[in-house]
Amino acid sequence: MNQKLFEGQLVRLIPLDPEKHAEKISAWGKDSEYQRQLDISPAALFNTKLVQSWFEHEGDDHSFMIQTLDGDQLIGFIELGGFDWAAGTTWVGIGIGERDYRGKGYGTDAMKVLLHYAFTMLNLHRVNLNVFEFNRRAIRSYEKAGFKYEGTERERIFKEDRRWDVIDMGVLKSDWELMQVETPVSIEAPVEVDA
Amino acid sequence: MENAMIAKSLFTGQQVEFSSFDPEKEAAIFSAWTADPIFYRRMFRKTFKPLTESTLKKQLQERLKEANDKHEGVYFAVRKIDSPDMIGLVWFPWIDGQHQTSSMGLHFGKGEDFDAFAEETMKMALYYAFMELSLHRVVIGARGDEPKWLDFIEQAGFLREVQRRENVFSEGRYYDEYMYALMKSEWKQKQSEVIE
Repeated sequence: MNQKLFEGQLVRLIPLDPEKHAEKISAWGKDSEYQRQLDISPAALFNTKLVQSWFEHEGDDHSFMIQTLDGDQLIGFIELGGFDWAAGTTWVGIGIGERDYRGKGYGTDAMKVLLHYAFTMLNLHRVNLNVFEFNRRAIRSYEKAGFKYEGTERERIFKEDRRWDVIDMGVLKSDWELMQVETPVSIEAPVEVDA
Repeated sequence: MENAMIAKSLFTGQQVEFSSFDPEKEAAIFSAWTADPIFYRRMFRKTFKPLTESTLKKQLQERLKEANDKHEGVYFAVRKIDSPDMIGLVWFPWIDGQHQTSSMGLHFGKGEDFDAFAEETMKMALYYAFMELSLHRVVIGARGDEPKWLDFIEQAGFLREVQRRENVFSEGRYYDEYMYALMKSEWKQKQSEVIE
């Protein structure tokens, strides 16, 4: 494995091993805020075995754990799934399970590493994501990684006795390439630590 | 009054009716439809590949069983009143009960059937969506190269919410993909305008 390919300024991505990592992912689920920002399904608690089975049945998905360069802490996960290989499109999901590492640029760095992999190794044409309107920090992070706003699904979800919008974002390979020209060698570009 | 509301037929219109379909007997019709990349994408959400009758017998059977077991999907064959032939399909493939939302699809095998029956079919489908499934919003997809379909869904009241740039690849080029949605409140408003 080319380690440099999966390393950013703050984190590296390592392949998600369901047997080794399910326990940690299951434990992150106790943080309901994390779950509500991550998933449209109702927040619930899932044991290690169940979490392990999700990742063992992923098929075509590309799932990684996010590990800090400093101290080798496992702080979250990121994955590509729902590929349309003819169009070269897919979806990305990311979660920073460790509270202390949120809002400090680790997620943005992980996303940059993943997009580099998506466009230069998987030859994808675009990457899609959805984010809930209450997750402003994530929206800013995705913009920094290169995603552009593509629309708002009005009142798409219902939580806390009210309806919330879902924001759709996408990044084309051409958008991403332009960013690389503007900020040469993106992987080594400085990452703002307040995001 | 209450009885009259509940007695209204959800499945029988002026020209068309909704019915169940039997994959064992009607898979050949679906097989012909899967040669249309637009239908294929809306129905199967996968890389385009026309499907054989035998593959579809199995796939559709599984889909209907899953929809029934989980109460997460509804599929209606569209037939002309008093005709046994399936001419179209209406489907709500993923009904998200928690958030009261669903995507929907509507397809006719022949252009002339679309021209003649799509409007009534859409009216029946939306009535069912809001008055029986009790949805808050319904979502429908479109592609940038389908002016007739775009006109049709906009006429039905759907608003464009999302434009996914170059998300579809077909016949050698990329197309933008649109997601449209209609809220129950907008649909009700439109009903009252029609009555007035």
